[in-house]
Amino acid sequence: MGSFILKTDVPNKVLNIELEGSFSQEDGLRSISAYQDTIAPINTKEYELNIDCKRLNVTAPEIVPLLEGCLQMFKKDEYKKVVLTLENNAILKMQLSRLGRSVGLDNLEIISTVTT
Amino acid sequence: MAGIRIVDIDIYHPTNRVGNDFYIEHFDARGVDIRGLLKALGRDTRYKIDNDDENSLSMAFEAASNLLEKTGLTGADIDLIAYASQTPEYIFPTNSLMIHRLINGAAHTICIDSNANCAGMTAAFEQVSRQMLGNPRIRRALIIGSDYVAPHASPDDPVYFANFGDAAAAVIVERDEQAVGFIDSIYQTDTCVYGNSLFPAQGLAKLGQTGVDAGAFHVKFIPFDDSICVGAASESIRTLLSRNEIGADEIKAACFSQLSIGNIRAVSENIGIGEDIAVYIGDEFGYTSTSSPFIALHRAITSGQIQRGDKVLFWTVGAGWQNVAMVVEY
Repeated sequence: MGSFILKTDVPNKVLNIELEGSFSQEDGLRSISAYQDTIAPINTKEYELNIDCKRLNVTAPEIVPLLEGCLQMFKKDEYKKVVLTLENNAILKMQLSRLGRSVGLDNLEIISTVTT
Repeated sequence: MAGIRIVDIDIYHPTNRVGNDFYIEHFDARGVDIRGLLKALGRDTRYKIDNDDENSLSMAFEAASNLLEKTGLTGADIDLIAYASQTPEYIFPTNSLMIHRLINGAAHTICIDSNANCAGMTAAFEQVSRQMLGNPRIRRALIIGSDYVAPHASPDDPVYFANFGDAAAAVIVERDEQAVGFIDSIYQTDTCVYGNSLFPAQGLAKLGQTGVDAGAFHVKFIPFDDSICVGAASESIRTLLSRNEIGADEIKAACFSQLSIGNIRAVSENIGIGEDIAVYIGDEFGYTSTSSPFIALHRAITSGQIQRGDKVLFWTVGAGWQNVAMVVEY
């Protein structure tokens, strides 16, 4: 089961999202609904979006269409910048980079952390 | 009898384009004039990776994705993925398996990596075509060639440092009951310079035991006259064409190794092919090694030089050396 934590840092104008575990279609829909509730009172154009995926289980190929849908949503919300942090995963980084370009999310930065 | 025909091809190269001046200044500072070398090989610009995120695998993924989008096919439509590289990003698992994951390939898909150095993608195309002729269960194959030589080029070595460009090519071939497609191929091997391009110079076993310092993981290259393969290549191509009763005038595009414009002209002249038939993209792309004949094919198609049904001749040469030539009907 996937879990998510949404935290709005109003003074610094940053929306932080932590994703963890394995996301089913239902988990995805629940998190998108919670995301919509969280951004309702803020002007996303003034915000930076930081998404921590380090504990997200990305082994299932099905996660990619879900993430693509999210990237399209972030594009629509016009953040100043979107930063996505992955646990060392060069393959997923390649996929997301291409998806980001294909949906026109030009301000997407993907960080693939390396643990030793 | 079924044929193995080219469905389509696409390429990828980084956006950063570098002209000769950068390399001339680099080697001038070392007291080495490379102007003559660049002119002899036919260099002008090349595309170079200038960030930490790109490598041979990422370029291969981009070329393959471009191709799948263009053809409307998906990973599930591919029965075999063949990945040719002399600079694979990973030794294991195979890079073809990585591509399989990236494009969400089917469970039955065959994934194989191969390496015939600069002749790699041409050899992979030829081997896959022959495999498909013998195995009707493989209906469609994705063949990718990608090299990222720059990290392994010594900054003191003009040939490796100043001539190579970064790019990948991907081609889909399909078994078609109505098509001719792949016609025939020929190999010619001479090991007279087997020790002139060694990488890793110390061998993998020693590297695994002793490690390697940053910057020391370079190709050990002993310069030699690269035109030594021209005579043998010309002879083997003549054999290939004559045994298939194909006249030189039937070849509408010659997609040759882009290492040297001089070699392209010499082989073309020897086998009776005009300069306008031999495709040259090495001035723009630099030498992209394994993918270079297929980037030439991409140019021949996009420029309108060839149409469906035209015969295309490939020739390339791998380190050591090994000439590989084949003829296909596009």
